[in-house]
Amino acid sequence: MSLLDGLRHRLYVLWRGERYGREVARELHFHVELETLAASHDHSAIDAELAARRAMGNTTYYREEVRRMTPLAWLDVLRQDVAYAWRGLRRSPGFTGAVMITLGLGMGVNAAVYSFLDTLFERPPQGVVRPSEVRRLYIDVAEFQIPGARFAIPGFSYPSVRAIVAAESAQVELAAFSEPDSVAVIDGATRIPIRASHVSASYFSLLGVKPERGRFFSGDEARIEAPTQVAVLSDAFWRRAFGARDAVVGRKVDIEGRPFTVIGVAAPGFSGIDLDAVDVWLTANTNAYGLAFTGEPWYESFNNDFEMLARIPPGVSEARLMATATQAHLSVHLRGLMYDSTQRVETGSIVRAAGPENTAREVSISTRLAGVTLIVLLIAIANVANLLLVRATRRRREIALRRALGVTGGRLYAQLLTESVLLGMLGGAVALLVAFWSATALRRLLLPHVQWSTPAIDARTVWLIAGLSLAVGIVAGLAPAFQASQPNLVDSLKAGSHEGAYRRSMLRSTLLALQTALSIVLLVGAGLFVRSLGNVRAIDLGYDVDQTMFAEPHFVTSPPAADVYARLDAAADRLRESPGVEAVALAQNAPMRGYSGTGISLPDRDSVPMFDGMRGAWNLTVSPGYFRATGVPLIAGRDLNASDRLGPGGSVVVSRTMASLYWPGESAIGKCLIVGKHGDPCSTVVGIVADVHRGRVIEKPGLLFYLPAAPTDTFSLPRTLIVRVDEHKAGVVSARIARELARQFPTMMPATVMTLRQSLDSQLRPWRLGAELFTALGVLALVVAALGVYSVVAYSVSQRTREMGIRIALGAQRSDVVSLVVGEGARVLLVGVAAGVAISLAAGRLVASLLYGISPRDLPVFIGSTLTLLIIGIVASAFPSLRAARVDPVAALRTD
Amino acid sequence: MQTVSPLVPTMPRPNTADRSASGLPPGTLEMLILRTLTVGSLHGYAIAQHIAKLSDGVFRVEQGSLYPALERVLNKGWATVRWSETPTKRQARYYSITPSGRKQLKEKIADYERTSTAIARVMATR
Repeated sequence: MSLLDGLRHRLYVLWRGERYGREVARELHFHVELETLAASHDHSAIDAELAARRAMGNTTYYREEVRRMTPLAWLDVLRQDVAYAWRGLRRSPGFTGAVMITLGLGMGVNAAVYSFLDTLFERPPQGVVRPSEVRRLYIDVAEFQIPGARFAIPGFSYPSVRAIVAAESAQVELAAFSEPDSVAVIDGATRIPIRASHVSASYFSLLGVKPERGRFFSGDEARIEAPTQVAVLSDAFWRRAFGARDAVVGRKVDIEGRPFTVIGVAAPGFSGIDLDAVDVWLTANTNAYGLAFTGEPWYESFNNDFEMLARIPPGVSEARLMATATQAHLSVHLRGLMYDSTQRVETGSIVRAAGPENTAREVSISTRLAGVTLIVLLIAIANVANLLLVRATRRRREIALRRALGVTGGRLYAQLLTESVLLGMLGGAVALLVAFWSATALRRLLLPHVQWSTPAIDARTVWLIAGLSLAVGIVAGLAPAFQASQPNLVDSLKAGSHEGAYRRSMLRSTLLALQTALSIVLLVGAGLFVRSLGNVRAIDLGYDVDQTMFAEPHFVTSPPAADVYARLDAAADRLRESPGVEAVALAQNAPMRGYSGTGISLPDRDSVPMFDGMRGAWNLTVSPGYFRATGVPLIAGRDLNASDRLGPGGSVVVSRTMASLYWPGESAIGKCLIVGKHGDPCSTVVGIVADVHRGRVIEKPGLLFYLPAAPTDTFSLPRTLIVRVDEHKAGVVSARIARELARQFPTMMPATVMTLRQSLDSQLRPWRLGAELFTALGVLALVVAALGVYSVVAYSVSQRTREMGIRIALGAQRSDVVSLVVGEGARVLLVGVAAGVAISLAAGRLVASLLYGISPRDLPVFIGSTLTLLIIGIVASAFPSLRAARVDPVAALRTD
Repeated sequence: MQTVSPLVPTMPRPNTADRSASGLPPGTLEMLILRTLTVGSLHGYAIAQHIAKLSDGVFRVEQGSLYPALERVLNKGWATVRWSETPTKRQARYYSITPSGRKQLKEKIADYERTSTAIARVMATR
């Protein structure tokens, strides 16, 4: 290929320049020798050589010409420019370092957020064939508490799955799977934690995944009625746990005490379709065991155990498919406990975060974060542009000289741009490190429980950073290049002006004001999130969250409920004696971790009053001492005691709101509440306690009553230990509780023991995250902006040394000089602050949904942010102004 | 450390791409080189000799034009070069024409013929 011959030659010259130069030299030498030989017939040998050399001309010059001539010569020029820029940057390591770090942080954080959002919202799971054809199915249901509101849930009951699969034509493939669940493979004494998903036999074929070893589930193995204990491993888990040995197929693995036979390994790269990597797939029929509480087999119950997938080939009407699926779903759902005829089956992308479910707060935060990091990048670019401007202005005279000597504008731009692009690239190198670190941190912060199936940053992120470095280098270099292109040569070269005349630069001031404005936006954002977090933390949940500790035993196969209750009671007795324990009680569930709904009636009324659109009340079975253990104040009457019972002649304790709603204007104590329907026996209200939150830190108030435990009602028997601890001895008590439980239940899996505060951590986390991330970025912006103010003011002071000297010589006071300099900086700051406040007011609604108990236009936050920035800005400009005030007039006037 | 800035302009130099010392119109030397290379692989000196001989000494190709022209030919991919042994057992760079070089030569010759015929016609009208 001739074209390639030419290109190969050029590349050879470019890359092996030295060697090629030697080759050309040898060739020319050879030529001269032959000339000499030819000429020696006419002349003496020495004369001949001289003649030949004369004829040849300057061989060094020709060699250079040969190089200059290659059409890739611009690369050679570029290499020269880069080398020059590199030398220049190495001469000012402080400047270079500041720019590298500023740009590295700006770009790195952006790349990390981009990478995070890309994985979350855009990237289809690995290993799936034609992922755009695969749709997740959702049920669109009515939100009962808010009229007209609807939301989508991904869960299907098995009867629904079966009905939908039966109703759809063979054109569309369907599969069911359960969300990955944390279980453990037991290998001797060690527990290897894994994520397992229960799938239908069609799961792998629908996704287009092939087995790497062995096979996948057969239709027979997947029959729901008969549990078949077979397992498919992910390639990653097979390598991690089994060293990629072939012999694993046919081996038995112990998963939570049950043996499963490994029948295959999935193709490398495939680890399920969620963010969480799946290690082991089991058949759907092992998803649960035994009977539901309705007495039916578990798979006939209406628990939403499964999610569904459909592969819809092109040309098949999705709307028609969903209409059929909706019909099928409603036909079986009719038998469910809470029939809702408006339910519809709809589809969503295989990428779960893309909808239609309500997005988690963490996800909402991450999208806002993208905007914030972009602002940080803009601030960084403005700052770097400003630093480059200052640098270019310092070299104004040098540049003017070069222009005077005939360097073209083009070469000058090229040189300045080379420098800023080189800076961009150096910043990009820092950004790679920052991106890797912050992408990992972001994942851990925002979605800590996900076992990520993909690396934190990948080739796309690296390319993004490379592109960004180039773009940022060019953008940041435009301003200095523009300014350098129009120097007033005569002024710049004139004597008496050491560094060229001082000019107020509109461009520099604008860049500074821009930084200030954007910093205000970030500071306001940080302030709003911090105040929200404070508001959320200040919510009184009704419990002593720090002193209430609870323990839930977990069993592979649960002992009878009465047995669990008796043993917990025994553990409670022993714990009461322990130091640091102030009270012990038992409850059906720990506070805010689940309540029951039982029908109630009042003897003299047709139905109980409605509260906030809901009829009825939630209840919890507790032992005596529960209120003391959890710190819920008793308002009237007494606590339940050992002689209280459930059923005829039984006792209940009600919440304050329930008492005042059901028995308005009179005391509820001694009144009759029927637990059940009309005609069932009365229970007497013996006590009234304060209202508490039932599940969420932020929730609408509701009604609640407490029942004593009855050994006959196994469903509601207490299975949680609640301990009021001395805060300072929490660690000791927690270990003691775990020991006591292990003594009572030798076959138990490790129990969860934590304080109520710890269990609420996951709910407070998004609020804390918002506050932390926004504050971190706000402080970063503030530091960068302060640096910007400092460098610009310091520069202007250094340019005006003579002017200051003259002012002082003419009688100006030092304070006048300081206020002159600071005043100039402050004017720019004020313009920036005003713009920033305007932007923040306009952008407030973007974060309004993430705030709690505070308006996005909160006055204290705005005042605080503005003051913070102004003070920092004025301090930053005060340093150089003090230097200006110390100018010795004599020395200043003598310079230059 | 003394640094040499690339911003200092270089002294103007004769542009060998446009003008050759022998006074040939631009591109002519390349055509002559390609024509010469159709004979076979040759080193630079032989090419110069060949052109001089065939033109009865009218075209004395000066070395200063020859090597830059050869470089251009290499850059265009019209010829390739490799080190090889001369009959007198010495190492020399031998140039060989490539298929695209032959194509280029054909075009150039056609061009040349058209132009020279046209010139001849104009000159003959007196």
